[in-house]
Amino acid sequence: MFQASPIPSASLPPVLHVDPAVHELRAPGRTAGHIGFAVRWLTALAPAVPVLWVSAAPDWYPPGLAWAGLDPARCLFAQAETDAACLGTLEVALRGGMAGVAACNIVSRLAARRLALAAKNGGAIGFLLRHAPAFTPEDSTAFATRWMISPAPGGMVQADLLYAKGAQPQTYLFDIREEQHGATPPALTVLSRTG
Amino acid sequence: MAPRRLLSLCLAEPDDLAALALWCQCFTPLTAPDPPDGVILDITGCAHLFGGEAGLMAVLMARMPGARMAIADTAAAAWGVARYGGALMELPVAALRLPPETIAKLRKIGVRTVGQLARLPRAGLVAGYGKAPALRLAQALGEAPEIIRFMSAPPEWRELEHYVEPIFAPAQLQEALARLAAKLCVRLEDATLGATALTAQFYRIDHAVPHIALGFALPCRDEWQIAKLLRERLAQDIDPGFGIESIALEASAVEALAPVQRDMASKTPDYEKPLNTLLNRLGSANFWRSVPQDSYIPEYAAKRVPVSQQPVPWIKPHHPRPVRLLTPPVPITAIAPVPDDPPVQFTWEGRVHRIRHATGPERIARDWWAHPCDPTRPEAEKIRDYYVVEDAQGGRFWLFRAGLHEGISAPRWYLHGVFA
Repeated sequence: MFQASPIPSASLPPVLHVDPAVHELRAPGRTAGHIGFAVRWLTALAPAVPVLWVSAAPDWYPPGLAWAGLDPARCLFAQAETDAACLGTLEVALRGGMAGVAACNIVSRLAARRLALAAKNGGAIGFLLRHAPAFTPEDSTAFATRWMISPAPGGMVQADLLYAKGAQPQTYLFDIREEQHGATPPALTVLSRTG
Repeated sequence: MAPRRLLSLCLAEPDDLAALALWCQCFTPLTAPDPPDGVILDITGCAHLFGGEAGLMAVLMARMPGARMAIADTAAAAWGVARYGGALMELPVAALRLPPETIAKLRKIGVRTVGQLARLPRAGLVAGYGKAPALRLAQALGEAPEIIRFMSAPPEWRELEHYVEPIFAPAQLQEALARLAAKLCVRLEDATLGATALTAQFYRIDHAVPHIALGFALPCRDEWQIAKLLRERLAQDIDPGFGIESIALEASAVEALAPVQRDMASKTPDYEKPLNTLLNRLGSANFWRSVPQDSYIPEYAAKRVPVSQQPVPWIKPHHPRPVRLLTPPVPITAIAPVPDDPPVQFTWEGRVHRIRHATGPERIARDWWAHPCDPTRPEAEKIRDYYVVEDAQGGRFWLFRAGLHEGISAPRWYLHGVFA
């Protein structure tokens, strides 16, 4: 039912296949490309792994997640009081081996380090979604990768790999293939790669 | 309200009345020991389960030969009839459970039976013989209330510790909780049960009873996990005051939990621990699963349910749905050719988005059959036409127009979601 093709891995640097890690996905304000990117990444995981979605102001829409290819029956949703509580919640989930997605805008370097450690201990994959510019003073190298996901005209998504351990910054252009009546699963295909 | 029926049971050789009262709860949930020699049962609405009142008495008689019993409308009347036999009005005044000196005083004026007592004026009775005869008579006749302290069965999954000296140091409290959790978990394991709700009560010396309530997404009997969750809440929820003299740990809800094989290989992943931690940290209102709901209206297509419920399978929606849904929908100003075209431009919070592509409309009407008719706002006003639009920068949005162009009021435009 929910067969979304994951992001084609052949064209991505091998460093991205490190499984227990936290990835930071940024997006400009008023867009949600980073959510779609995380969803397509999560679909590659074993279907039994539950996914925790946590935010201080959750506005995830489960039918929308289903449309993007992630089974909402796998998902658990949480509302935390503050951004710091969000990160604490994500940490508990990652330490317990669940996959986790947290949307919050304030992330300290200490919190980033703790999350990375929790993911490593729990063998889990986590995503941190932020509306932030590409470079901020508190950029941390604790996360395995840092991306800037911005929409591109013509139903495409531009993914800038800002930082990855052991890889060069690059820019990818993905095509969002979304058939109206579900003949083909939604997928991202790499159109071009620069950098 | 149906009249109450009470059964009084009188034993020749009373043993342990509290234990007998508990045993009698197989007949009715309301039983109370009635010292010195009996038990009182409130059998209102229960007698038919045993073949009527006569059948119930026969069942009791078969199990307790030699016991005397009677059923009446009030507890005092049942007590008297069980012990003295016959009709209430013909019983001796001793059947009202009066002190011997009062009975002697009444006998002096020739009052020997309840009937004779009932014929006396009540005001004079109180003035001359105290409150007891009039009160007991009124209770027997159902004119005055009688307080009966019915027993409740002691909780089954409860561990209690008393302390000679009140304790208040956090380390002592943590130790005590760990001990109680270990004891409770051993008992739960023997019964192959797991707790789904736990309460720890702290009896303070000033009679306040602060408590910690834990909920579990999945049944749990892991003593380490329980102790850890209690420790987390101890500092913020419990003020030990001048000291705590006893602590009780009770599993208020239990479910079956099969024993697990503890071996080294083939370990299945187990998410019980993080789920229980998160549930207790966030509270059940802030932690939920989403299940599909049978509604076309986007706001009602998903429903929040507690995490402890089993997930419900989803089917993929037939039309595009955004990953972010704005609740409530944000009003926007849009420029659109009439009547049914998608907008060419819209303004959201002061920023102009020029639209390059649009698909739609997907028309969603309200479920009119489920609402009362409002003549001032016809159903056409509540029709929503949804469009998926893409602006010049590539951002994809879910817009809708509420109402039709030929409607009573001008159509309104709203932004309802953002696509990934």
